[in-house]
Amino acid sequence: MAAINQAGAALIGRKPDPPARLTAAEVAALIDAGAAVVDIRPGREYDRGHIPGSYSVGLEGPWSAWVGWLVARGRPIVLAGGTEAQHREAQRQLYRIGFDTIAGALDGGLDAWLSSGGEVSEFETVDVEDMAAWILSAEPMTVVDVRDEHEWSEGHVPGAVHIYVPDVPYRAGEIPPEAPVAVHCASGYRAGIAASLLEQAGLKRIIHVNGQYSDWDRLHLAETIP
Amino acid sequence: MFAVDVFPAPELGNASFVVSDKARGVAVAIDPLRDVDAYLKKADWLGVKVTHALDTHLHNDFVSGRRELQAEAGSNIEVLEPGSELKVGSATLRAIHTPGHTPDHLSYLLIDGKRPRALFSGGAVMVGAIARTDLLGPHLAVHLAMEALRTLQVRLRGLPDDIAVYPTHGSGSFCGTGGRSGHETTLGDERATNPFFQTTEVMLSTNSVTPLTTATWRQSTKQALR
Repeated sequence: MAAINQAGAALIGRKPDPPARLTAAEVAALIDAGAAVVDIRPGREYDRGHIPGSYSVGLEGPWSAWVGWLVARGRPIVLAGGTEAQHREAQRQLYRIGFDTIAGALDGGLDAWLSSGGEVSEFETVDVEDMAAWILSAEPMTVVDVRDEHEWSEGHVPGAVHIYVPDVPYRAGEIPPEAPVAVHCASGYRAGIAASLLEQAGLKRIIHVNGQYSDWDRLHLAETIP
Repeated sequence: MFAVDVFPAPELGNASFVVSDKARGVAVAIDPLRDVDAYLKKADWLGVKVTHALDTHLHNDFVSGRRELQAEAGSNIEVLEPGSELKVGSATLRAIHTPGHTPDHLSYLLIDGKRPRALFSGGAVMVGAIARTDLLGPHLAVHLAMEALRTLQVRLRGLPDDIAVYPTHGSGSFCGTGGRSGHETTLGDERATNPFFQTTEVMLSTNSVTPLTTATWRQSTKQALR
């Protein structure tokens, strides 16, 4: 971004137009042309139904930090879900970091997408307690911990695989595709992002652990501390 | 009499500032973001003109709004030389060279009634921290860490304890090294509690600041992205 500041970014004006409202057909065409769809709803809503291959980054978190990290600068971005006021907020955050390629926002949200015959996919949403029960059942599954190295080294679920969120696109191949994969972080926010990255990587049965990792300790479950 | 308005940008962990003199109808924006409507709304409300827009340093985490203010409000965006001054109504802003976070980093000292009143410190002094010195590469990190300490111990030494400090980078910033939340403190509080002010031995500081700048940035990303 220093280079952008040295060169001087394009002017956006005092009141930039809001993101264009796109029909489902326009969004589908943009996806085919390589656009990134970023769904701005909370992860729990995203899990219930979303455009396959979209990024789940809830506007309630440090939104542009994650979008800026995961989506390549210059790639057209389509916003999905959320209100028009939220689209403006997302646009403001993107402009602030010099991401100017906002193609628009899906008009009518996921309802419009569905009624135009668009496909949706779903994730299971579970709590830490559900994940624990599953692990103890000894059914095959992979637990992916997407917290950072510091958090991981302070203690983690025995047998979990550690892949920090931004590394998921590069390391998803290490996860066995045949078993379900449960993805967790500290609060559920980053796990939601990572779950969408796992779907992009081709994994099929994705379980979003949307709860506080501190529950693991509350349930008196053992941790591995490296 | 001057007034300071703080404009936090929580997704960036940063803040920007407008210093105004309502009676004289003038204001200066410091480290403005690219979406300048909020500053101009405030200026309209106060009945002041944003005569100048200043950056404390070459930003690498957001696009500067200086050019936008030049286009929208006719603000002067000329860069102040270290030691030079700028009138804001009855008050004066003096540029002080405070390298560390970047080599050319400036802080702006607000002087009113012949007394220093406030320091707009960018990343030179944060609330309980200083900004990273390793962002320009490992070859400069140690040198800049030394400069950062010299800034705290030498360059700012003559300033009184009771002046307000307004840091641009806050605890959630990618450019920060942790610290506490908020964008307003006093120099006296920082001298008493900020760990970077406690370090005075040069050898100790090379040993402690280098690992700090690399190890604690992960800590700060963790806070930013949780």
